[in-house]
Amino acid sequence: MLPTASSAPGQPETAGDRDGRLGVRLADVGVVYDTKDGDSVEAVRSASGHIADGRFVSLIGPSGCGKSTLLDVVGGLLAPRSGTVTIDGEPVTGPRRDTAMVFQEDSTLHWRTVLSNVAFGLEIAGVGRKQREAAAGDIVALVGLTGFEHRHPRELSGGMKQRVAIARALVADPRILLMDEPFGALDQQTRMFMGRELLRVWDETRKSVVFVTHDIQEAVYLSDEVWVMSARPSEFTAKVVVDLDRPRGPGTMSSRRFHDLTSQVWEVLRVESEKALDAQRELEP
Amino acid sequence: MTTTETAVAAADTAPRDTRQPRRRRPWQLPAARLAVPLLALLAWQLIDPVTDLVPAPADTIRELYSGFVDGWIYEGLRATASAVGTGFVLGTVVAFPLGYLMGSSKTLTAIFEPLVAGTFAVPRVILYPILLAVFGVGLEAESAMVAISAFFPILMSTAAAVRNVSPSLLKLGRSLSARPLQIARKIVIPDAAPSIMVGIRIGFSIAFIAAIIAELFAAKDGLGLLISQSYAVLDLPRMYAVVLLVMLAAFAGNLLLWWAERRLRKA
Amino acid sequence: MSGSAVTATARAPSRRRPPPVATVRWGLVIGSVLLLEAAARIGMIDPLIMPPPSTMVVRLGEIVAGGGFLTDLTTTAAAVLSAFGLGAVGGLLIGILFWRLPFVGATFEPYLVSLYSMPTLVFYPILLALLGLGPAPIIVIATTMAMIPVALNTMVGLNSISPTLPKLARSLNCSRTQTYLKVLAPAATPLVVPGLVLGFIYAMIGVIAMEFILASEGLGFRIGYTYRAFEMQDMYAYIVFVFVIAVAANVALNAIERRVRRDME
Ligand SMILES: Nc1ncnc2c1ncn2[C@@H]1O[C@H](COP(=O)(O)OP(=O)(O)OP(=O)(O)O)[C@@H](O)[C@H]1O
Ligand SMILES: [Mg+2]
Repeated sequence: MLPTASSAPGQPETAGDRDGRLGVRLADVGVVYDTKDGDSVEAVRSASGHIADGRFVSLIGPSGCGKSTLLDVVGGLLAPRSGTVTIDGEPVTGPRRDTAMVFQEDSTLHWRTVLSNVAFGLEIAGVGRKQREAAAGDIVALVGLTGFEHRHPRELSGGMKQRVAIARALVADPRILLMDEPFGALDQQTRMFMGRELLRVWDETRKSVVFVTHDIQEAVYLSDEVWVMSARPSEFTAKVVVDLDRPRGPGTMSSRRFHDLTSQVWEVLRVESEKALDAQRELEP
Repeated sequence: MTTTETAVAAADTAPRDTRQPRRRRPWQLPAARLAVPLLALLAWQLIDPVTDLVPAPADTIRELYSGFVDGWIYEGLRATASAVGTGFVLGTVVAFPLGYLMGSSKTLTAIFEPLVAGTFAVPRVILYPILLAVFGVGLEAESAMVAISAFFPILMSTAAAVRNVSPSLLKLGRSLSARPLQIARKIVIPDAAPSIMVGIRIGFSIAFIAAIIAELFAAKDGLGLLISQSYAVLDLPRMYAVVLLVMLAAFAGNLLLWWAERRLRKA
Repeated sequence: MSGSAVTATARAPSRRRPPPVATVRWGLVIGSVLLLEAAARIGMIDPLIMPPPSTMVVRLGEIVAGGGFLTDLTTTAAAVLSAFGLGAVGGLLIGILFWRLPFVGATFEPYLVSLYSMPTLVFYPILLALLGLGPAPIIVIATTMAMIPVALNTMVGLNSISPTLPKLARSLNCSRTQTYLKVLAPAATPLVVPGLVLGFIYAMIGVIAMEFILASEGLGFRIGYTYRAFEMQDMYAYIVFVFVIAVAANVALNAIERRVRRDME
């Protein structure tokens, strides 16, 4: 393990949680997939970390390093082979109502309208139609889809579908939001715009967020911390604390500090990618 | 069957030839398509004077009309319709849950799929004498024949459709702590519906064909029996009238199911 | 698919290995046959409805050994092969034609697709009248059934060739024949072969079904004939034979198809 690229003296923990019991805690999480042909793939070797209540943490790392896998583990969809995940001190044994996920792949239900897609989680939870549609309507406005409530996913752009997925995650007002490359399919401009929108929502609600991305600037711009993962089998190689002021805006990205932090992340990531490439070369004859 | 289904579906999106297509006006294709049955009708009309074996289209249609006015067609029509209806509903009701079960379990698929797929090439009609031995000639045997014929395509397409439900949607369901029944009703069935409908449509056409074959072989009643009876007494206009009705009925049934499939695919 | 909290995908595999699926599958098949055997032997099934499976097999052996069987078998096989041969050639030609002339293809495609689902066999009295009681009407109907999947798959296969391939051929100065044989045909093969497989299966189904209702020879006819003559043991013997042949043909064809697809893709 490399030393933490930037130590975090006096990071602002949520008041009343000085021992750090609240939030998501990963302790030596390891995940091994059994493949169909009897082989096994060690996706994550040993991941440890603490996402304090209300913090925005980004995961970044080479493709295939196990980011989605880790989110599945935190979301209670996948049991780790070793180690534990706790939320507020309780071990995660399955999906929780106070955790919401935005998946990497499109997960809109194509036979439902935007509104009923957004309300889907509440419907599953047994909330009555009037109530859930009212709640969904508010969130639809929040993500800027007003006017599209009764459209079907096929009538939406990729970015709008992503917003539907984000709205669906937000509608039940979860405490923990797990987002897997939610802006992956978007062009640069829309990405920036969506990032700002996400921050606006987050500023109002202060949920804990785990945000997977491949975009270093996006990670630094949005997060309190950027966790860099090594190539598979992965662990966290560095955790960069982003001490940029909030609320962030267009000025943030032109600041000196922003530039320093992105190059710091980039440096760790570059070393990792080279290691991954070297490992591949050794395998070749 | 599935191969061609996918192939046909692929035809819509497949890139065409590189040669510059000749420019056509939008009405030309529908017009050409419409011309096909008209030309067939014309050919039929032209053949009529050449041979005694083919009555003129007008005579055939007049005979069919008389079937409805004088009522000689109703008994056979009712028999065929009820055998197809009963058998088709029975086959679907049994095939759908079994297909769902099969599609949701890798183990069940691994056990049963090769068996079901292996019998794909077996002509189902060879089982008809067995059904006749069990039920005797009549509605039961024919309905059973229809049910068996419809069963396999519906089973296979339901299993495949359920198996192909997008994993990310299932993941969503689990992350929301949906109960199995909720996952079935709100995710799997709506997502799989259009493909299941394809199986139901194919099942219907195979079942209809099976019913006609069964009636041609042994029946108390039905359109197939009307065909073989009128052939036996060489009442050709009547025979052609019933053949025409059978074709129209098959076409209408297919069109209806195809329309339902399109609706599902859109919604 | 399960709604359970956490999937076991990444859990340690359970030590107790379940029996392999193939064992379970064949166990079920053999078990059902044995069950039928027992039920028929102890009289739970009326022998007039179904004899024990072992009797069927024994009877089949006697039939095969006796005269006549070979005539039926060759009649059916000849009809299937002719229908398949004619259907395959016709289907390939139609498919190529529809591809070369897309407008014609687009015009006829919906009719070809719906012909699939039509009971075309009701035309048999007409064919019977025109061609007489012999193998001809059966072969005509089975040929139509075999031709449709071949034609549709050929057309789709050719249409789905990436437009870069003909361009490539032209850039390499391929002759017309070379373009067809070395570029287009191999590129379309992965879809044409399944069409041919379906065509064969449909030829088989078509011939047997038509024999069942209108022939005076052939395996399909024999099933119907023994039923009418109330020779239940013979009837079951023939049904078992057709069943086994059809399954074997299907398995063999699928193996060929997989082979070709693996080599081509
Ligand atoms: N169901 C599975 N079965 C077997 N192996 C899997 C499975 N899911 C993921 N893997 C493997 O685990 C590793 C990590 O996958 P994961 O999807 O978590 O990567 P990721 O970091 O999200 O990649 P990306 O950035 O491309 O989304 C990969 O090597 C992948 O091949
Ligand atoms: Mg991922």
